[in-house]
Amino acid sequence: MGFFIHVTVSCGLMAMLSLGLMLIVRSGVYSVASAGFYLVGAYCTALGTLKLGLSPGFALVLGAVLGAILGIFCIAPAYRVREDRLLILTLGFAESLRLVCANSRSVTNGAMGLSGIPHFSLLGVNIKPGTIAFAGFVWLIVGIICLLLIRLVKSPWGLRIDAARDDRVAATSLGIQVARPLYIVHAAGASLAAVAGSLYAHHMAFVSPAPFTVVLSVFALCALLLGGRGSVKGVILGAILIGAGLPLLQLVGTPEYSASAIRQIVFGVALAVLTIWLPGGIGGIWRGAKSDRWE
Amino acid sequence: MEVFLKSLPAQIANGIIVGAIYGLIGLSMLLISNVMKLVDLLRGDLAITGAYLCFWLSALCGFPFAVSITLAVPLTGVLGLVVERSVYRPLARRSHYAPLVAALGLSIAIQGALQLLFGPEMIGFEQTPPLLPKVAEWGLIRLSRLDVILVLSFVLLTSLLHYFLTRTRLGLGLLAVADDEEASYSCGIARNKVYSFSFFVASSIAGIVGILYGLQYGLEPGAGFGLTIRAFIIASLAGSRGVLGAAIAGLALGVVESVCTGLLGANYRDSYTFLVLLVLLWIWPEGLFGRIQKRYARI
Amino acid sequence: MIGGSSRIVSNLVQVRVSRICKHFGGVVALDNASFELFAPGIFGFVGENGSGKTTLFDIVCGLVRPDSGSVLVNKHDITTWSATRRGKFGLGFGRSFQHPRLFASMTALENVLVGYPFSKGTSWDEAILGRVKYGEQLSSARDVARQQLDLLGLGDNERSYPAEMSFGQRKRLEIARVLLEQPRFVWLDEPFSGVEQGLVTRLAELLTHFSESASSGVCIIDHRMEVVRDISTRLFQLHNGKIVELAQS
Repeated sequence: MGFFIHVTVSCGLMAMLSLGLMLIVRSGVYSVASAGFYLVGAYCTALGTLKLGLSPGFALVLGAVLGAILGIFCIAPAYRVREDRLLILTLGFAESLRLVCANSRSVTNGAMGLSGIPHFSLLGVNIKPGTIAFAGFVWLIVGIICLLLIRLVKSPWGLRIDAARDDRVAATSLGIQVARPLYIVHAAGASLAAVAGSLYAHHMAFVSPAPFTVVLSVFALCALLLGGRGSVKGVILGAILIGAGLPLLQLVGTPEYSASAIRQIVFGVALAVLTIWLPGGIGGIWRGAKSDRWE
Repeated sequence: MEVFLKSLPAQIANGIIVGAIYGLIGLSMLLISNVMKLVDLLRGDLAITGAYLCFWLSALCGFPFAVSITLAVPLTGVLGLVVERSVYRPLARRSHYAPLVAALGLSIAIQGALQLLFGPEMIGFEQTPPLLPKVAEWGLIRLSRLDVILVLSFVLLTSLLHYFLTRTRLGLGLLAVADDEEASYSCGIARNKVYSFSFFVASSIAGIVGILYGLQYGLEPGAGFGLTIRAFIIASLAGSRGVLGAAIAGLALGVVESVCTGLLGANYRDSYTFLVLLVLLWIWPEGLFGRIQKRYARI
Repeated sequence: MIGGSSRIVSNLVQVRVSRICKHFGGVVALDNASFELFAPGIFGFVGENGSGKTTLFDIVCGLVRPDSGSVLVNKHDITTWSATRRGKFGLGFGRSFQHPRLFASMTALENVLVGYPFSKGTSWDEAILGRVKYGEQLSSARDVARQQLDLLGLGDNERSYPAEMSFGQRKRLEIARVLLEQPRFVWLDEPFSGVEQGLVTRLAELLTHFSESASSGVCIIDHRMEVVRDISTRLFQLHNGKIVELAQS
């Protein structure tokens, strides 16, 4: 039972990461900074509750705000940077965040991490990790995010973001702003990742910089592309596949590090294969996508 | 502070040695990026794979070390060629991010595979002939035979590459494609052949780099990532100044890293690199191909 | 086409371009080029290939910065304005390009829809909260977009993607998109090139009608004199980087 809940929460958190990434990718940036904002949320919660005595709810909100600010900061030079360097920019940014946490031993306890994070509580109600209530709460948030996202992409605002992504010059000649939506989208995506990070901290009751590597970001990107960039249902499916991948592999009985290595191989190759042959992902297949169509 | 100043020459010497490695991998990246207009995120992983290949041949298959190197380097080149044909060629045309995303996926897959095959711990090469004994010593600077070989290889490879690019027919063809693809096409230069060839050469160089790196610092599956980042930095700094620029940039990066490590502690080593990377991207956005002008002003 | 009554401001608009200089490397594209226009009307810009016509339009629309000179609209200096600001809905410049710039991931209908001047749902908060608000607007916008496509002979291509369309169709689609928001001044770069022979006259009529009904200044680049001469109220020629107005007979 505990294992099932762990898998469910795992998938839910990955879904949050991927949904945040969905907006960012929609604006044209293939960002691998998700793990960095995930880390920000997690450490914000950890430090906030342990060292500053904040309530978990407040720490979560603080993490979201901090994530948004850092998200804007991350993408700010994007304007001047050529497109093919954006990926490396996001990569560098996320790794820098991780290294800051890993090296500030006095503040964050470095690589040893912080443990003993209290249970998550909202309005006085304690939601203990490892319970169905917690898993339900995680997926409730996922559901809310889905609703908001669907509204965003089907609106005129979403149409303009698509236009700006497809052809920046044509969009500006129509009077569409390219910069501001980019910031908003990145702030939102980073915020969502930070919220996921906060919940992760409560779920594990322990944070260390180790899991927040580029590999995690690549998994989020893979979940997004696997499920289909434009399809919310697809993204959820992709997140479930990847989120459940590691725990299930561990079940099969291979030792710890082999399981993660196998997961890396499988999803790394999947990402490459998807990019070459199936850019629309599973969602693209559902919709009968034509080539060039941004699914 | 005094301790730092006393050890400064040693730090600089270390910096030059590690800078030699960086310069070479930067050269490898530069070849690809200038000719194919593509940032190759697999440089470091290819290098490390070549090193693991050499390790496998020498330590696990029992071939003599010299033979292993001679086999591993061109094999790495071939591996690069395979990647170019199957991944980059179909994708580079399509969009600017597709090859990067695919490379990223392959990068983590390769790291996973290496971890599966060779284990996650750092392994050292068995060194035949022994390369560690020191050959020279000035004050706190200690140079081993390996260090000397490293620097010599760096100088040799850099000069060879420079000579090749500027004096031979094939090399000039490469430069032509790098400069203006369409014009060179109309001159009869077979573009695909140039792509394949430059990938082969660049990947072979990467293989050499990986082996040298492995000899000096030991191998672990995740080491490729750091090399790729540094290769990118150096290729960006070198820009249109080509081989010489990459060489100088590599040495500079190595020295800066080394001195900062000496000053602030070895834990932060990677942090400096990323700091340099971010600063580079922030203040110098023109990129690897400074000569390409954007038609439209900042919109 | 949307009726001219949706325009709030209908007074005369003046565009004055003075002494624009632009060079690329050693090549002088524009050398103290100047002209003055009043909307409405149709204005032709002719000249040989490479005479700087596209560069001129680029500068006026804000995509390229001139080396010196100024662009004034109703006596306001907009030389430092960004391209987005100049294209802003309701007061701006519209532009079409020599090689049509279309949004590859959208259908023809959606391409045109991007040009619709939505009044609600254009910021993220409205987008999330106001499904009801922009929902109706979206369906009427779609109808208007459909009419626009019909007008340019693309009624059957509603669901096609730009990649599936011919060059002439793409050109017309781009024009459909830019005319939808009824900009004050429209800068069309070779709108007739590639357009199927029978449709040239229809397009010319359309542009004439548009400039009257929307009180808009339509500026057309073409290197073929005959096409442009017939419909233009004023004609300018670019030569050696300078602009000369030609007498209209």
